Amino acid sequence: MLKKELREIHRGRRLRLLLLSYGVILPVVLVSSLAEYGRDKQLRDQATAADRNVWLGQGPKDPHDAAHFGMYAFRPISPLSIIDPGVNAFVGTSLFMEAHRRNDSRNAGILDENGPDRFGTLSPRFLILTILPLLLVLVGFDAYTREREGRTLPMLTVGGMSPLALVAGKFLSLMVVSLIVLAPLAMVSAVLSLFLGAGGDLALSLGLLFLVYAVFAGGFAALILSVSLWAPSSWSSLVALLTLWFAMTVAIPRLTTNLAEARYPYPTHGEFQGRIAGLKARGLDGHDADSEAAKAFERETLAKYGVKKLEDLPINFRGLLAQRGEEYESSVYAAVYDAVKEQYRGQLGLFAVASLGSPYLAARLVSMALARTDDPAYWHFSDAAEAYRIEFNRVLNMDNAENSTYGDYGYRAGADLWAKIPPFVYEPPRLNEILSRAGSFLGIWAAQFGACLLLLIVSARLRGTTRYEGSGA
Amino acid sequence: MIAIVFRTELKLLARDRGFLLVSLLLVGLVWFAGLNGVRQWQSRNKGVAAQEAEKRKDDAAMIALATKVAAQGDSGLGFYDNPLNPMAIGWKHPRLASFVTGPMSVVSTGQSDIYRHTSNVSVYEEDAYQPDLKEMRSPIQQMLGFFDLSVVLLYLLPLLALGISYNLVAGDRENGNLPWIASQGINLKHWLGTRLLARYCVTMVVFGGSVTLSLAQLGILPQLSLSELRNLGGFTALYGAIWFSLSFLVNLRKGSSAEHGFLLVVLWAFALLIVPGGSAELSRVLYPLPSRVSMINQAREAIARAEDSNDQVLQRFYQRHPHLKPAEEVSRDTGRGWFMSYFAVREEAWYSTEPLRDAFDRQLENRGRLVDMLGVLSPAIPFSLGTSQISGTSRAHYLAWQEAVAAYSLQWREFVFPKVFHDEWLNPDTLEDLPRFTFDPSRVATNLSLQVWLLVLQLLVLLGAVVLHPTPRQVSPSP
Repeated sequence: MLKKELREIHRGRRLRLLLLSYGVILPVVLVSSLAEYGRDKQLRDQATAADRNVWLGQGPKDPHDAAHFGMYAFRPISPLSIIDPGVNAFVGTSLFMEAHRRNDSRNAGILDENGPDRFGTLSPRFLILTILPLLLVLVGFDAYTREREGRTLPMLTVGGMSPLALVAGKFLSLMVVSLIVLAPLAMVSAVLSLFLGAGGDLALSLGLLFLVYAVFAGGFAALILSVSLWAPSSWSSLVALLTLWFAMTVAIPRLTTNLAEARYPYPTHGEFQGRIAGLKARGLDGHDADSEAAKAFERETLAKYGVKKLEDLPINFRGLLAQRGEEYESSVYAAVYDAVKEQYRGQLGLFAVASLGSPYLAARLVSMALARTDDPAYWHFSDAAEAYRIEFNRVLNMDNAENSTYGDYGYRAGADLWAKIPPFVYEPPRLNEILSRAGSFLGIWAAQFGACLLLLIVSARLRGTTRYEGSGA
Repeated sequence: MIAIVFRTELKLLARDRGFLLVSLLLVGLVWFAGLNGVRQWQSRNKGVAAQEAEKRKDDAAMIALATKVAAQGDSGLGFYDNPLNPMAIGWKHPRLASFVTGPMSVVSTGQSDIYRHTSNVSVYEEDAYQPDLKEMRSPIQQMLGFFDLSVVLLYLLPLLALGISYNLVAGDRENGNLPWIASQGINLKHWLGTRLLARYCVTMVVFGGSVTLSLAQLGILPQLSLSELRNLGGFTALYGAIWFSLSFLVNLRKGSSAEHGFLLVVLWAFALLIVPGGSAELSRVLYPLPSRVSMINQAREAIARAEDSNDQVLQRFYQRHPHLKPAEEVSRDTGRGWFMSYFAVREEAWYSTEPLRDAFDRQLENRGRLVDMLGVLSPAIPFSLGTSQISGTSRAHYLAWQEAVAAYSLQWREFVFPKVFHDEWLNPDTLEDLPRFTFDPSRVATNLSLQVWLLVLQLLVLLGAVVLHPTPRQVSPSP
């Protein structure tokens, strides 16, 4: 049965035309994705080293001035972004870390684009999750209707072939087509991961990524055959499958975006800054020694050291005040960013519900998570940078407190202190962390595959026999 | 005869239950897409209005305090709390620059989900020269996009066009009607053209009518100008005509209904999925941008260098801005001295990255030109760019807004700096008359006419191919 199906698909011009187009597009996509990744990585590595040198060579200055001078964290790009760039273009590439402020990342790639990229980036993920199902639809929409319309179903079953064996052959033939699409990508990716020196964790993620894609293709193939089993004609099968494809790939994701905006909106930049300013105004400002909060901290410090005047403290109160202010401001940022993350979690819940109706959405969310190019991967980086910012500000403030005297603004720290602060080294999330986070989507994705297979088996039992032969011709 | 074919076609469509059902579904989808657009537009402008109200409140409190301080003295106010201090105004009372989108923005989200619509302009902002106006929004939403009227028109109009026209010749050939039609003495190309024209008109009525009805029901229609409606209608009509012309050409080919359907779906996928993504990719490959990351490095190195040679930097600053040079020497250890040196250093860094920025802008322009040119390969590109331009949410609009914010930022500095550098404190009357930001989106220059011409060119090429294509002679199905 498999041989017969493959022979028929091979003889038809459809697959040849589609694979020819795919053969032209795939190398272009791979080469441009790889070139973009290589260029980005090189630039970011260079920029990170250059910024470190700028930090180390900044010359003697007040440690708090150095904190304002700050440092940059350049978001590293996951090697798997060659396969699935995820939200990379929509989040910034650089993050400025300085005193008093948790800055958001800047210079998102999307700001430099002209518009057509909003249709979707031409990446391997795009080819697999968007184009491959369409290709399978175009190859397999008439898998059963063709047999009915040509009255060839009795010939197949007369030899005692069961409906399940028949459907298995057709299913496997569509999977062979999927593998023709997936295999070159998987092989190139595996070679690249070796070449890029990706560790075991990334290699495992890559393997899982292609497993997700293969299972997604399998689920879609099952859906195509089920529709073909029930459709009265080839054309109605094609129309139904195209409608399904459009709903799953374009309509449901976009409708969910609208719903997410209505139910769990992010604050606008202006609102967000307003919240921060409001919360900051209620607490301690490290630069304002005259505020009520600063006076209270002054009294607390004097009592702690058992002295009456700030000049009598064994430590410079200015450094302590700056540090206390920094701690308060950090807590403000933690609170407002936590509120945003809460909205994100709400949105993700909606996307989970929506992905029940769209295997594309479920697979896309799992794919981004495994490629470390989803929103949580960005938060992971941003939180790591924030932890680093808090720590380097603490070191600088405490150096000021311990090495200068109250009222003396002439203290200058130098290269020793700058070198004492280690460079920012970012460790992306490990696979087990990703799997526990994306567990719900993995569950949905696996359940969808099971449901599609079940639907196919039931459809084959009910419709895959000669009793219905000719019913839709 | 032509009139009879036209009328018959209309009757056929009116009796087609599938078509009527799809049309009804479309009316619902269009209304829902319109509702989404209206919600976004209202929420956007509500946010802008709330911030403007907040700013007015803040300004009123600032002026009241300034009046009190002017009359009674600062009575122990912190240095940065005194609104008569120009450094405090420059830092703690930023100016608000807003972008209010018009009612037409309900049609296309365009880039409005990417960019901010307000910006607090402070002289201390690192990005005063080149603001980063990216909106704070979930990246996954930005990645997947919104469901709006332009999405319905962009994706579904061609699908409906192809769905009701793919088998006009092959279908009649397969069911045996074509020999009878051919025997009526009518040119088959004219017959097909008339059928397609009838179906095109009906499709336009379905889409045009449902868009108009939904805009009217949502209360947007009365707010739109005639030219906006004309532009949207014209664009949609051109876009639809291109798809029907493509179907015309495919219908003229030999082959079965299934083959024609297959071919049209492949062409649809190429036009809507492959070509736009490919164009963006090609523009990136041919015109790689100098890295913004490198720009940051250069600016940082320049700041570090400038901080080490503060006196020379200040000298160069005064050469560029002689009116700011104070009469007396100002120590860097004072608040005022720190302020002066801080901005001289930032300006020095800005000038140091000028060549890189120019190269960046040149490449961006090249990219834009290439993408515009590649629009000739797919009607989806000019249609999508054009609808966002008509809606006032295109990239051109947001770049213009970004430039206006940068210009205002410099204007605001030009107001604050002389007062700081010459140690002139403000008075309450000056605070009543601070520089104001103005931005009129309707005056933004776009290349809408180019997008129209691209669509016209595609239509002419397809119609030319239709004219040159031989009239189908095979009236019976292949054995």
